[in-house]
Amino acid sequence: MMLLARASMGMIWWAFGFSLLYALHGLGCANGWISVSLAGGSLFRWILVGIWLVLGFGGAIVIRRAWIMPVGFERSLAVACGIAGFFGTALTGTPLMVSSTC
Amino acid sequence: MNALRHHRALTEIWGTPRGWRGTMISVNHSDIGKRFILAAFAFFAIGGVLAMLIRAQLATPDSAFVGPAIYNQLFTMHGSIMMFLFAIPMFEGLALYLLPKMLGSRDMAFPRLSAYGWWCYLFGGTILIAALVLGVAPDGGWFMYTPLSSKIYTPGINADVWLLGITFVEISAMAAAIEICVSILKLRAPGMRLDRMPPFAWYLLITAMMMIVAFPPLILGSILLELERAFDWPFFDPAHGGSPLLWQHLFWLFGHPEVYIIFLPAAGVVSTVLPVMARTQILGYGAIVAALIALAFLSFGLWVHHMFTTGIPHMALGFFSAASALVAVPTALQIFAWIGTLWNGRPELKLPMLYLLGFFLVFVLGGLTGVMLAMVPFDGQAHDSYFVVAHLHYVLVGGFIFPMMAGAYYWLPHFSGRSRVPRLGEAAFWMILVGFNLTFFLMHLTGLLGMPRRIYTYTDDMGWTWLNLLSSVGSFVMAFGFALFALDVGLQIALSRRSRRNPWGAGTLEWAMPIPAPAYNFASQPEVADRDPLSGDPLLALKLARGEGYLAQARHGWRETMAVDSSSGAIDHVVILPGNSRLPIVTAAVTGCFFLSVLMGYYWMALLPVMAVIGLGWRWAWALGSRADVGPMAIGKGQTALVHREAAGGPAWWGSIFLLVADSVLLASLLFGYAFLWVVAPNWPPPQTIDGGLGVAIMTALSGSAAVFLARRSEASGRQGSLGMAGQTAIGAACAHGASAIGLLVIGITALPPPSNHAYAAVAWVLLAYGILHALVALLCAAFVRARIGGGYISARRFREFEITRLFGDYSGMVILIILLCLFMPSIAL
Amino acid sequence: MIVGGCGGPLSTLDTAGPASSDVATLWWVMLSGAAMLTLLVLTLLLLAFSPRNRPFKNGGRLWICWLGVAMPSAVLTALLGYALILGEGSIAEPVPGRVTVEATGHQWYWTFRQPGSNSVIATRGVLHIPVGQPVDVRVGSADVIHSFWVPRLGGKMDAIPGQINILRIQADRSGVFEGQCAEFCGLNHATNRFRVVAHDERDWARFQQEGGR
Ligand code: HEM
Ligand SMILES: [Cu+2]
Ligand SMILES: [Cu+2]
Repeated sequence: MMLLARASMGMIWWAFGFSLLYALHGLGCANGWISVSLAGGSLFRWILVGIWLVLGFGGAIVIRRAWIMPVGFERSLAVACGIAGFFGTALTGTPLMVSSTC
Repeated sequence: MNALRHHRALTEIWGTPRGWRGTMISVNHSDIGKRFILAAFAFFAIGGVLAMLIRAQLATPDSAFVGPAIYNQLFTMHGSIMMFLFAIPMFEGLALYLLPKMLGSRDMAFPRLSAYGWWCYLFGGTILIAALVLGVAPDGGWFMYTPLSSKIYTPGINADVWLLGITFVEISAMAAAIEICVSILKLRAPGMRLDRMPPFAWYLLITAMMMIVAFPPLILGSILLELERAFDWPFFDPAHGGSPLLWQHLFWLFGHPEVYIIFLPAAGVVSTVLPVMARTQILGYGAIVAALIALAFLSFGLWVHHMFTTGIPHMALGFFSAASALVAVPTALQIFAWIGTLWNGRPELKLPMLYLLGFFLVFVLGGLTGVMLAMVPFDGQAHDSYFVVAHLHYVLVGGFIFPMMAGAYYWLPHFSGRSRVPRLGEAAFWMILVGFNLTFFLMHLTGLLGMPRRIYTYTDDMGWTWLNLLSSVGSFVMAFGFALFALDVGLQIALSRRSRRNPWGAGTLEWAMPIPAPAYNFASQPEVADRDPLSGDPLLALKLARGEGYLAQARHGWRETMAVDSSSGAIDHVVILPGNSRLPIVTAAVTGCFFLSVLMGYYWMALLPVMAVIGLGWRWAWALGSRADVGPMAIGKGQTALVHREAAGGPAWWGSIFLLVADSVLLASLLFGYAFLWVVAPNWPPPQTIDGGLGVAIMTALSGSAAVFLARRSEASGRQGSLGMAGQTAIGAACAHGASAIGLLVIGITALPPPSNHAYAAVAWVLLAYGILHALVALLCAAFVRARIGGGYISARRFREFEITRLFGDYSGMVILIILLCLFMPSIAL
Repeated sequence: MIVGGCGGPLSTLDTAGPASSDVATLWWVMLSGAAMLTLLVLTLLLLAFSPRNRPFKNGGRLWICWLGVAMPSAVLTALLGYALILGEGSIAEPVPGRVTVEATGHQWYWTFRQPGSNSVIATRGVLHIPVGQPVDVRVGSADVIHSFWVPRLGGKMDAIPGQINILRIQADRSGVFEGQCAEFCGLNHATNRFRVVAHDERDWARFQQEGGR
């Protein structure tokens, strides 16, 4: 069990980030946070983008931690999930750059 | 020892008595698995007949075959039967039958739970079919959108039949999920490390974990909708602060993972059968496991793609669109890993392989249209049109039926001990393949030409006439194909000649036994050193039959099987499984009485079966355990191990953990609903929020914490052997749990507006009810400990009851704190 | 844009407005991509059965890293970017002075309200719009969930009780376009139809004067 949890850290991180972005987006739109504008976008969008970058950084750390595990099945899984989670965070965040916020 | 005598002794212990009595009391995984498979096939036939009626109606424009009232029941029941009564139970059955055999074990971890799940499934399915026969079947579509399914627009019991019948069946899905997880993690042959498990076990482990997280939102949604229908608690009514979208979120939070839950076990069949057909090993075992993990997570981030047209902001849609596209990657990885496997080996076109080729063709097309639908602008056009009907059948039939049929032909010799009838299977395959594509390929075009799904008729000038006619013709060709398949299977079981052992030359353990399989699977359990134990040692079956493995003795009438460390596969302890029992069928029948009373609207009378279930649950747990210590016992090969009662981390502990995970997902879904309504629904903030009650709340929290503390004290005394002290403290803990239940009730009565007042009040009441329920469960657990001490079941070696009680007590204490915070924080903050 | 059998009163491929033709283009692009991928998979599959000695034996890296992960990731990222940008273009952002109509789904008919020159114009079963300019449809429901869908003009938008969703449609030529309720709404969902009439400038002026009478 613990092995599985450690090995899926990358995807857990993705799930956390995804939920965070979705929840914040919902909250922000409901409370009119987009009305503050900044540097060609809304402050709200920049905050979301900032969080996205932090999440990506966290994802990189997860990969790094997986990388230094002792060689074996667990490490292979952890590295693969780390990369998947990192790529997932990158891709699922792209709408932050493209789409209208609310 | 003489192998035959040994066989008789083990059959005496593990077997099922003949006749009706045996049918009712059997808890053997092979029996239950076969029943699931048979019943699921019967439901498939019923669902198929409904599909034929649908196609007959749509074959021509302005058809007068059935009217809209019947047609709506037809497609609703077709979809619901196929998803809930066919697909899920079918793979559950296969898993129940195969998993212990593949893992080198003798049964699942909770045999009585499998039987209970089976009866719940049978009774729940019967309720649904009875409603169909009586003409009061659900008619709101398989996703039952509110407000169409609310009381005003569906005044009859049709929607209640769906909500209650499906929830009843879901009990069996949850039971199977928990059981599959624990069995795979704990009950394997010694030496089977995680990375030596057969791929099928990985697929089912991931599937079962997904079920544990995916089903609670649906169960919660069904409870809420039933509460709204029965008592006017306005969760989904926008006039009172509810939101129809809440239902959609809860449903699809379950509904999307559901399709992967259906696909993954079938993919597990592919990963098992395909390498054998190509006489090689699977390519990229580790990559596939990683892909499964990724898939499991990603599939929970897709649900909004069913809601692209509900007016959600584009950015949020974008998140889900991206995740939906992304989920295609792990699937593609598997497809190419399989093709690579074929390249590595020497594939032969035997019948299972033929079905696998059909799977590739159909499933890949379905996957590609899935990616298309994940693109928001395209979905705007294709959503709710026949394009979606085509897509979903390409993935479900391609991703489930074709692999399962490959599996059927692959494992049939295992079930029947016979080899197959020549050529019939090939004929069936071609009819199904051609019929299927004729039916559904054209539907892509029908959809793009604007035909919406769920319409009972259309006019000629729409330009859909010839497409529909051809689809209907194709569907009948396919139906004959399935009939031929059924005939083929029947002939094989009844008439065909006997098959030799391991007819395909496979390497997995389910073939290391005589076929058809004996009740106990293995006369002795193997020691596993690689992924294909049978390829490494062709004589393994013989050696095991001769008793050269673990647990070769038949002693004391115990159903013994080995439990291992979940990752290393090292020997952990011996589990003694419970034997045949009437409890499962009786408990399921009483559970059924509960659902029937609610269905009929006798709400007070429903309390009676609830009490009865509590009593039966008590007996269920009581029947386990022993009044005497066993100590280390011989397991063969000169080794010893403890019995599960005397070892930590046994099946009951793991089962409780998974149950509590499911339970907390239910709570999390409820809190999501609370937050969702607060943020998104119209008519908030509510006219009245919680008013007072803070004092009671603090006392409730304190008594909840006191219960947690007392339970620990009780356990500590119990472990030191001062049982009298332990018993008294347990009673103290029970009282404290009782006090917190009463506290929660008092808060509701004194401080909350009535639940029908506003969605806020309704959710708050459900939160309280959840807390009260858990406090009562914890109370019962603590009382159970006291009774067990009195009964002499507890000693310094045997104190598992304390551990389980602690789990439930801690959970209850924690939940009460969370609930109180959620109720009082907002009103303090505002 | 009528290719062979792609016509029909509700056809998404027989387009008459920018939103629907964008989607149709997206569809044709995706269809050709999907066809190529299907061909690729089937060819690789059939080659596995050829008796020749095959290359790429044990080619885990080729099958898994390149074909299994890199190729689909690249294709999907490109497609996703295209679709997101396309979708962004058809969002109904508020513009002052745009023609705005209210569409309400009922069991089982549609009603529409829009400002006329003299008074509010209410119609049942027919929605009038001007040709060549975007129209914002404010979609709502009077009872259960419905969905406003005029396939030749653009994608659908659900009519959900308790909320208003905005859909932008535009007709590039005058004429009558069929609409259909696309979300199952009970007994007569199948026949829950409506029409959109797109008027040229003269007709539109007259409609606004006379309210369609
Ligand atoms: C045996 C061949 C089958 C045929 C001919 C068939 C035909 C159809 C048709 C025509 C519809 C659309 C009805 C409508 O929208 O008016 C439909 C809906 C559906 N089918 Fe099937 N089907 C078959 C097998 C299956 C299987 C095996 C599954 C699942 C495992 C399945 C799951 C569904 C679901 C979930 C729906 C949606 C129901 C709804 O809209 O509420 N079908 N089927
Ligand atoms: Cu989905
Ligand atoms: Cu409708």
